[in-house]
Amino acid sequence: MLEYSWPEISQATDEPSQTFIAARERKARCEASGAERPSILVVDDEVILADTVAEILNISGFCAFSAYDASTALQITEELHPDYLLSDVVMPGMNGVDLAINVRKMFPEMSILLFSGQAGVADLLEVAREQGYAFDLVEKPMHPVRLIERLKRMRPA
Amino acid sequence: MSHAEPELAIASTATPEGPFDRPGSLLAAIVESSDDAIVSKDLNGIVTSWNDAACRIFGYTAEEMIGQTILRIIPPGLEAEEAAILERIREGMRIEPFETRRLRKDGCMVEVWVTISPVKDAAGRIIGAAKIARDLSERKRIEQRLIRSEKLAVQGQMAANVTHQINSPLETITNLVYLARLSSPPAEKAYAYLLSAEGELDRVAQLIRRILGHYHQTVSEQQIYLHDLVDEFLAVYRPKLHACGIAVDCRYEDRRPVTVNGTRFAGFFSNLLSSVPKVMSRGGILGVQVRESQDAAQDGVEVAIRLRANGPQENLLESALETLLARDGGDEGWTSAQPLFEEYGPAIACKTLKDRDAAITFFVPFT
Repeated sequence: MLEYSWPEISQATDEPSQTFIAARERKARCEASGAERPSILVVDDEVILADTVAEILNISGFCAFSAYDASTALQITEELHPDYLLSDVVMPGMNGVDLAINVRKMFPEMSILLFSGQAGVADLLEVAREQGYAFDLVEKPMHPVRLIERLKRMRPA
Repeated sequence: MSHAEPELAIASTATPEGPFDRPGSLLAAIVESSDDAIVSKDLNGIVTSWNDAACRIFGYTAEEMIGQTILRIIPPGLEAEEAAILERIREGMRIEPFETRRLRKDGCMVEVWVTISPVKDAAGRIIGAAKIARDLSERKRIEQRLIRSEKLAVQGQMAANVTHQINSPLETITNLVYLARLSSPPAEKAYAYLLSAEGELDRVAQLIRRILGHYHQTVSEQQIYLHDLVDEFLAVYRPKLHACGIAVDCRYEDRRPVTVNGTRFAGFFSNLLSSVPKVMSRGGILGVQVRESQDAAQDGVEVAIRLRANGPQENLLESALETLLARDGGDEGWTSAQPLFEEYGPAIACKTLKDRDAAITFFVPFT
C-alpha cells in the first residue's frame, strides 16, 4: 500500500480570535454606555458586507458586532448571547442555516434572521424545516432602512 | 435518348375498371397518396415519374419534370452528388439513405432525407432509379427551435448565476452609500448625490429581483393582483418615462386576484413600460387601468393600456404592438409579450382611437 503522509493541521487553540475580541469589546462598550440597546451578531463571509451592516445597525440603535464564519459566530454567540442573529446563508464551512439551527438549540428565544442573495437557499431552509427549525429569510440586496425595520419587527423575547 | 419506363408507375396508370383492380394500380395509388416525394429517373438522370408530393416539395408539376433532367432540382455545387448516384446505380451498387439539399422551383433550398433504389425491368436489368425524398424542413425547424430553447435555458441559468453573484457586492455598495450619506451634512450637495445614488441602487436591486423572478417562476399559475405587477415595473421604469416626458396615470379598481401565469404578464408589463419611451418619442401620457369587469360570460379583470402621444403620431398602435411583440423584448432583455398574446389573443382588443391615441385592452377571467 502506498504510504501517505498526512498534512500538518494546525491545532485549535483556546486563544480567542481577533473577531471574537472585537465583538466582546463592542458588547462591553455598549453595556458601559448604559443605553438599552438590543445586541446583534452579523455574520457574513464577506468582511466588508458584515462590517458595513454592523456599522449601520450600531448607528441605528443596536449594539452590533460581526463575524466572518459560522464557527466564530457560534463561539461569539455562546459567550455574548446576543438578542439577534443576522446571518448570511451560503458561507464556506458551516452554512448559515446550520449555524442558525445550532444557535436555536443553544438559545431557543434568540431572534434569528437569515439573509442571502444566492440560489439554492430555499432547499436548505426546507431541510431545516423538516427538522423542525423554521427561519425567516430576507433577500440581498436590501436597503438598510428596510433591514432595520424588519429587525425591529422581530422583537427579541 | 431512350426513356426506359420504370416498373414504378404513377397514379395516372389507373384504369377504367377501377383504381385498385390491378396490383400496379394499387401501387400507383400508394405512391400518389404518399407524403414523401417519390420520383423515378432513368440511368441518364431523366425524370420518368413524379408524384403529387414531389410537386408540393419541389414546386414543379409532373408535366414540368417528366422528360427533364433531375439536375433541375440539384443545387449548384451538388451536381457531382447526382453523377455519383447514377454511377453507383448503373453498377448495381446499394446507396445508403442520406440527408441532402434540393432546389425548389422558387429558388429556395429544401432539406431532404433521400432513399434511392435501383429500378429493374422484367428481365432484371437495371433501367433507372427510384428516389424517395422526405421533406425535413419541419423537422429542421423543430430542431432549430429546440436548440434555441436550450440556448435560452443555458443563457438564463448563466444570467441567474451571475445575478446571484452581484447581490452581495450590491448590498455592500448600498450600505457604503448609505453610510456616506449619513456622514454628509444634509445641506451639502454630496448628501443629495448620495441620496440619488441610493435610489438608483434600489432600482438595480429591483431589476435583479425581476430577472431572478423571471428565471425562477415556474410555468404554473399563481394568484396575483395585476396592479401589483404594474406597480413593480413602474418602480423600475418611472424615472425613464418621466425623463422622456411621459406622464403615468394609473387607476386600479381590482379587488380580487386572478389566477394566471405571472411570468407571462411580467413579460408583457416589462415590455410595455420599456417600449413606451421608444414609441412616444415626443412624450405623452401612459394610462393603465385595471378594473373588475364582466365579460359576456364571466367575471374577471380588464386591463386597459392607453397611449396618448404629444401631437399627432403616425402608426402609434402599430409601433407599440411591434415593440411589445419583439422577440428579444427590447434592450432590457425581458421576455417577449408574445406568450400572453398567444394565450389571450382572442380577448385582446387593439385600436387606434385618434391620430395620437391608441388602446390595448384585454380581459382576464377570475377562473
